[in-house]
Amino acid sequence: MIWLLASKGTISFMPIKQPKYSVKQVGLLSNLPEISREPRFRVKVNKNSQVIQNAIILSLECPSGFTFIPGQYIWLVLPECSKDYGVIDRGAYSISSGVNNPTLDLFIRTTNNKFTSKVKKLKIGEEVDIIGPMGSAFLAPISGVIMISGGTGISPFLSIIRSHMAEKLHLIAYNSNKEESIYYDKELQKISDTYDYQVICKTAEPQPSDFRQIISKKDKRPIFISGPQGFVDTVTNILLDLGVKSKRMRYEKNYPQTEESKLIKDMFATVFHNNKPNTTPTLPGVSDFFLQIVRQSSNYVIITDHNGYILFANQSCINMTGYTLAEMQGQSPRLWGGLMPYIYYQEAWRSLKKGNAIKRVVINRRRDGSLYTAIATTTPILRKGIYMSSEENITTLREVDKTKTEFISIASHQLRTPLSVVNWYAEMLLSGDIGKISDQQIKYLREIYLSNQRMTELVNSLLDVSRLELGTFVIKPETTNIVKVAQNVVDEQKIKIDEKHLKFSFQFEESIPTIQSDPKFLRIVMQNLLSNAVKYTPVNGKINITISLFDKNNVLLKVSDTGLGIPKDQRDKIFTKFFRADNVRSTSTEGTGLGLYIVKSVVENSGGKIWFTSKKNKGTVFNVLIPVKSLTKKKDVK
Amino acid sequence: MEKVKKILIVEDEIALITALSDKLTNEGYDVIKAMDGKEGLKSAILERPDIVLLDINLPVMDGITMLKELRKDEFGKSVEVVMLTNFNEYKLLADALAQGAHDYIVKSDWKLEDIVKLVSDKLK
Repeated sequence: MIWLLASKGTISFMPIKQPKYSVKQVGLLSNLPEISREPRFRVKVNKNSQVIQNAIILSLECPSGFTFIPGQYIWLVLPECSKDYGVIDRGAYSISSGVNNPTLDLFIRTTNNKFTSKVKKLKIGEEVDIIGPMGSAFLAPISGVIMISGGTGISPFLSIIRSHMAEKLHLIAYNSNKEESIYYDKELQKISDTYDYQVICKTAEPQPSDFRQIISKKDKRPIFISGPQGFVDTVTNILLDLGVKSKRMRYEKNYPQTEESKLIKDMFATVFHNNKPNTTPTLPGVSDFFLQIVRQSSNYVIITDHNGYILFANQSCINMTGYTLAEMQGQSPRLWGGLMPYIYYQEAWRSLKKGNAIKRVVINRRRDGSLYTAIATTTPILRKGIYMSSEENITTLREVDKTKTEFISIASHQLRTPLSVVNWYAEMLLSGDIGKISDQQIKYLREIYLSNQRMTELVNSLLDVSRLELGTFVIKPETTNIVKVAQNVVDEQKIKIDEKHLKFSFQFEESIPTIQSDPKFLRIVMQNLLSNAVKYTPVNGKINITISLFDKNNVLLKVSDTGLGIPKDQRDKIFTKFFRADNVRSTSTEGTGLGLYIVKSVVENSGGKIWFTSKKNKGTVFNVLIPVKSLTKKKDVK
Repeated sequence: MEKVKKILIVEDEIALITALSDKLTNEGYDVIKAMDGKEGLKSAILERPDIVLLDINLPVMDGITMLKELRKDEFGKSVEVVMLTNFNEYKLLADALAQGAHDYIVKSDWKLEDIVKLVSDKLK
């Protein structure tokens, strides 16, 4: 971890508090979206109409499976540019239609821009590519807020309003272009009649009198301001003069700057401006020595302000993302991010606002369109919200991990044929099909047969693991009687339970409904939990299985034993791959350490939960919540 | 006297096909063997078995293609087919089931005894 340190002066570059890392991996490392899977769609132009001078609305067909959050944007790639991923050859536009529309509307200004003049010429039925949705990083559905927009700053708001994603909105839209303003006024009044929105469209410059009526001291509504920097400055100053607290104001751009963010920004302004990453900017108070450390770090490091806008980026960041410093200026890391699910960014912000650092696996997109996987750490480094993100590229690591998993998959498949051969021949010999054999021979053959069975189980476990990690483990829910599945599993293990003289009980509520789940998945869960219980409970111990209705959406499966228990210091590792607790390792050499890993993965893949309580030498209780309606996990199937 | 039921096994692994055919012959079935899909298809149409145990991964013509071809035949269109696989991947099995296979056996997970039971149940 690297800190920017100030040797003297007013800036305190120390962490707000000792960062608590919340290391969260989004799914399994190798279960993340594939490198080639960019959210790119080829769509037809439905309508291309000039609504006012220098502005068109481009309506595109909304591809199936395309969902977005109001305020998100897409990249528009025109046919002649479709092979080129360069930023210059495509445009990023906010979607201004609602989420349930069959068309995606983009409001596009067409002045003085080669790209937009090409957009203007697009004909109905012509095909374009869209990439996205992007930029979910800094948006949230907002209700009961005041929104003030200037010019095209209205675009994300339009999307929020048109999709009715928020209630009780108060929008004041400024536009110096009279024609545009009238257009918006007409459009928005239609909506505000139906919904609880107040819309005011103005052509004049923002005046204090515009806000007096709506911004009283009692009013606690947040104010979202969006538009060109000059406009945002003007409105902010007016509001501050009116006594509005700055914390009520939210921005799209990196505005207003805190003292610290301004200093840092100024410090790097020359770098940004000259686009010469090797120039060393100077700022009184910041040690060149530490600055050089950050700059030369082989990990990507960026520093952002409280809105997530980039103040600084080091050379590694430039190399990793392919963007130049000039292109990063005034942008947030969503320039190359925004590919993860919305909740991913939401969680990150929540954590950062609390002053906690966050470390997770992320997939980002380089300027050339290629994706990379990284472990990203973001840390708040200043009281007023300056964040430092560092990324470590793990794309190769992930590929190696995937190759390894594929290797296991292939090897396991190949092992299955010889395993079947040994199984069947031993079975035939044992059953006396080929002729009578001696007791001694039977004994030896049984050993061969049982060992081979163990090997088959191991291979099956390895295959399950590789399927889970390659994302080819498909959960196919069907109407399933969970009690019946449990009964079958119990019957299979009856011999082993009896051999150890275990007191076994199985209880279930009569009212357990049939559930929508994959019986294969239920079997894996129950089989593993029960066989563990049997394996690790001493002779004459007790094992109990109960199935009950937890709530209307979940069934609770409990497997309890009076076995060895899980040592306290190893509880956090118990669900990890190939892990076997010390106490079971010393008592039994049998066991792969894969069972609980598989169980947890399949339970979570189907939307369930698993947890346990355990006491050393007293026993363990595993609880599994099984959704009455299991999630379908459709990934690439092989 | 009840007619002896005829079983066609299409499997390229010699050790497996031998074990299966020996077991089923012992059980009193008339067993026909084929080592690849093309041969299997020919035998199925000529010999009109009561059930076909069909491996997926076969030389010359794979099991899925053989099944597809078999379903085009007047007799083959309705004959009972059980897939033999060690590739219990859903895509392949889903393909086979979509082509009209009735069931499947994961070889390494099944005892011969259970296969005999499945076959006799199906032939009842």
